[in-house]
Amino acid sequence: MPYTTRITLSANRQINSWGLAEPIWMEVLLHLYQTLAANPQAVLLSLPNFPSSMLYYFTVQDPEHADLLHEFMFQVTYHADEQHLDVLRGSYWRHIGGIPDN
Amino acid sequence: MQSSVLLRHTRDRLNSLRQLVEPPQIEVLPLTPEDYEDLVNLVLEFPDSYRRVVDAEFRRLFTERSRSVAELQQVRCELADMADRYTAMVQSVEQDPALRTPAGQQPLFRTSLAKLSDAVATLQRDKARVLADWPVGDAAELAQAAIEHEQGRCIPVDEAFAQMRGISVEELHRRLETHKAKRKEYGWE
Repeated sequence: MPYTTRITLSANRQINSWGLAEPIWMEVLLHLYQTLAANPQAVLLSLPNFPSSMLYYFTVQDPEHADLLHEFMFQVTYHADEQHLDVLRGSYWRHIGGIPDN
Repeated sequence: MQSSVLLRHTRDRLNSLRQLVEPPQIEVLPLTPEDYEDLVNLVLEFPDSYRRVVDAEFRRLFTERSRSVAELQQVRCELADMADRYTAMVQSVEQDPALRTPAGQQPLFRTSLAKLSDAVATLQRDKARVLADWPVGDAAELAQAAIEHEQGRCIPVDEAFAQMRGISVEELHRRLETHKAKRKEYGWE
């Protein structure tokens, strides 16, 4: 059963502060709203010694500059009701270069 | 946990600068005007090194995905601590009368001294970026996030994104459908 993704106010402020161009911002929405919610087990990575949260990584290639990558990482936790995934914190990085190996 | 080579090098470089700037060293080895100018210039170069290490450590977040929360917290703490020690060091350069005397006699030094404030501002901006965008916060921040989570102070992600743009959720969903249609055009499918 798909989950519903929610976000804390602080993570929301983070995303808003990144100044993302519209297509990249939409892609972040799509990842959190759809990809993550549809199949979290497939995309979430566990952190050693940190059972309460997982990380969701994804990379978006800039549509105008092929060598510019927008990399995102979100700390995500399952809500006890087993219906919601909560995004607690995010990290964003622009990187010039090729697609990372992993 | 072993810090990265670049992080250790940058930390060592800062420590080396601090040793040069500390008052006892200055008293033992009084600086000539040339030394003073060199010292200020070395201090001014540090923010570039700091930015390189911040860039590198952010990059490592995405290439080394197996680090523990404690390791991630340690790197964040080291980066923030380095920025604070640099700021304290610059303040000592700016305020120490023994260092300022030669500066007062040479207009060129005064110009270099004025650049120190800009250097600190640049470095503090990078530090703020680390604190804001590092994926794992310190213990207090983790606790705060857990409270928000437990108390249900989370909003559905589509509502949150709609609020960011000041539009309705329905309008956001319309834009999302348009975006999906364009993904092929962007090379994302």
